[in-house]
Amino acid sequence: MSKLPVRILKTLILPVGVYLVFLVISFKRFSNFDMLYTIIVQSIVPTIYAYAIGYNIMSGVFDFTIGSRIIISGVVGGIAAARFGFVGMFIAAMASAYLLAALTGGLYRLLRIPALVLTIGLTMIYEMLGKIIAGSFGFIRLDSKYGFLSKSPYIFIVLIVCAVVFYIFLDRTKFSFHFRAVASNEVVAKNAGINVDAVKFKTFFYGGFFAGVGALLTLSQSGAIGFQSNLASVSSVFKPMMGILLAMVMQSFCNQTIGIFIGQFTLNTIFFGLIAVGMPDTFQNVVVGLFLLVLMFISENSNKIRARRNLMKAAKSHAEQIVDG
Amino acid sequence: MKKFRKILSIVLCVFMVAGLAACGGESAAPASQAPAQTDTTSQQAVPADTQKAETPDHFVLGMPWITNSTDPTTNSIGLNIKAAVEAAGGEVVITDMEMTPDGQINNISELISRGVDAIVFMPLAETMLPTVDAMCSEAGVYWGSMLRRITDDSIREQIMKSEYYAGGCYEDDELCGENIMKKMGEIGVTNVACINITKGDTSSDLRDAGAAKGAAEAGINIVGTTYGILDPTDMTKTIESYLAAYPELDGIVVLGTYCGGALAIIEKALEDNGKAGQVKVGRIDFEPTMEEYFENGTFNICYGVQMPYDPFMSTIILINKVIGTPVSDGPAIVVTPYIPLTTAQEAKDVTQYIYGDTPMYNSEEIRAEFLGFYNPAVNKTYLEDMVAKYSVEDIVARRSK
Repeated sequence: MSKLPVRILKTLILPVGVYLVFLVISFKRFSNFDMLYTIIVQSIVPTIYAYAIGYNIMSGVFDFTIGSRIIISGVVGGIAAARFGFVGMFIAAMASAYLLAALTGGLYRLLRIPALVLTIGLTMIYEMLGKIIAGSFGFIRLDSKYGFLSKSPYIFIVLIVCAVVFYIFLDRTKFSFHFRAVASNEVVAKNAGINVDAVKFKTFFYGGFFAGVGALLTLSQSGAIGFQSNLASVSSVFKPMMGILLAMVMQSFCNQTIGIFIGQFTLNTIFFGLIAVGMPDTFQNVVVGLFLLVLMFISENSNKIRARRNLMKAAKSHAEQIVDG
Repeated sequence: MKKFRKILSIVLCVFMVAGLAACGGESAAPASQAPAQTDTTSQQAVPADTQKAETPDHFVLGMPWITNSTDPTTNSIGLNIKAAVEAAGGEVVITDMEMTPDGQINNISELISRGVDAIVFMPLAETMLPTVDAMCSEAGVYWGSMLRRITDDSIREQIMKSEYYAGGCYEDDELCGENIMKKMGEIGVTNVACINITKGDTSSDLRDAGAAKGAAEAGINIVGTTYGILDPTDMTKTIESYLAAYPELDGIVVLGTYCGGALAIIEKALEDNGKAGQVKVGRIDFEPTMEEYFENGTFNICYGVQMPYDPFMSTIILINKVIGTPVSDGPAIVVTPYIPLTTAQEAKDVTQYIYGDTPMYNSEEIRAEFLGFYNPAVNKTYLEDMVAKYSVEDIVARRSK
């Protein structure tokens, strides 16, 4: 229990540190509450996206369909909103998200095609499906009266509910143990009697809940959602994926459910900060990429760095002893 | 269970192949038929002295274009090119446009192998043009460019000497960027955020340069430009970030974007922040939602009515070359002007008559006004006059009869 404050402190170092850097660089723009609030709110949708692919990525299954699935769910939800109001939108978006998640997971389980190949093929098909459903303009607009989910306090309630659900499946169910075993070593898990195929199917299916919520939030927040083609929807996977990677870096002291949000907040702070200081757009990508590489390098090599530091300390004290002697 | 899996695998493969085929191309005629039809044409060709026929020889025009779009601009461009080609007695073969210069070279290679007589396309980078010209010259295929200007002197010099380059049109992107920024200045904007398509794209770079020039002249501060947004969430985040970081922001200019429903997303972000109407919005390229936002007073200026006209006119130049009535001795380059749009009624007319389901000009008009085969007066100067006369009012008058 006494370790909790230390863990909280360690968790906050990254986002607070990054925020402080920009506060120093651009005090005028970063010293107002609006900036902090906007960064927090804008971190919620990518966090939900990250939850949608979190189980897959953590178990080593790359799912590129998530962007196209969210688009279809959003488009279906938007159409339903026009006819049946908010309840219709909610049911339609969630139902289509679950259906597509089950279809993707089911095909992965049945066909045994590598996830990379299967999900790229399916993304092409889903993008075409999204185009057909989106109709003549290629996008669906939502009446602003149904877009309240993206506003405070609803968006925070949605985040908390999603975080709790994600946490339960990640850490508090039989599935969580099975999926960690599969992620760790698939062959050993299989020999231990775990139904690996069923676990992988569930990583898709449980993620379907968050895909549905992500679609609803995107539709509510942007007021429109449109089809994408030529695998453009795949790009929506990468930023949430970065958040998951940061969460994995922090997992020794921070639960991944919170870590994903912290990761997204940190990345968004960099994004907002570079815009606030007027950095060119291309430079933003370089900074985010470098930031991630440095962090991953430190995380992956922390033991080596610590060992090297200890070795140097020992050598120094040994040298001092010789000098004293 | 194993049998079921096998069957399911086969079914999925069939669907995937069908999906890929759908992404891969769309043709006015089946792909496999295109070369065959060209051959037939050459077999049926009648000696010129006996012909001076009532119609030009049949020809096939290839075009890399976005086949799976429901965007009205994209579709209108395809529709008007098809109308021009068919009015001249040709047919169009469309292949799904790749979004990289290398991919576009593959598009050109594919069309040549399909036996087309001419190719019109929107080059994503001018550095690819010498390669395209070499490929087309070797295959004896005429080609034309649309919507893009050749800015590099050495490339332009090389291309303008080509026997197979018919020419084409380009919009003066730099001038447009400059003009939209000046218009923003006229309505009192002082701090503006810009959205643009990816850096490196000729059009994007020129619009950037023009916007910088216009902003300097109008005394506008460009607080930042964000490029290559495709996703609605990213568009919302970008607008929100500008609003949060720059409370003094009073203008947003979309110099270009491929994000579907971009204007609706921007308007929503402004509305959510209580800034709709306060932050002035301008956009290069047309969107069907503009009429509503003009009416609400939350959208202020658009430049983009010429979008289907530029490819249409580029195709006209190419067709005239293919059917033996070139509009000039060498390649003909015509500049198409950006036409500003500032009212809801104009936006409504543009949606209905320029981006609608009917081509801007019917077959009789195309033959009589744009093809040298039917109208000997057609030359480069004549086409430039036609470009100067192009207006929303003219198209509305023609099509609302």
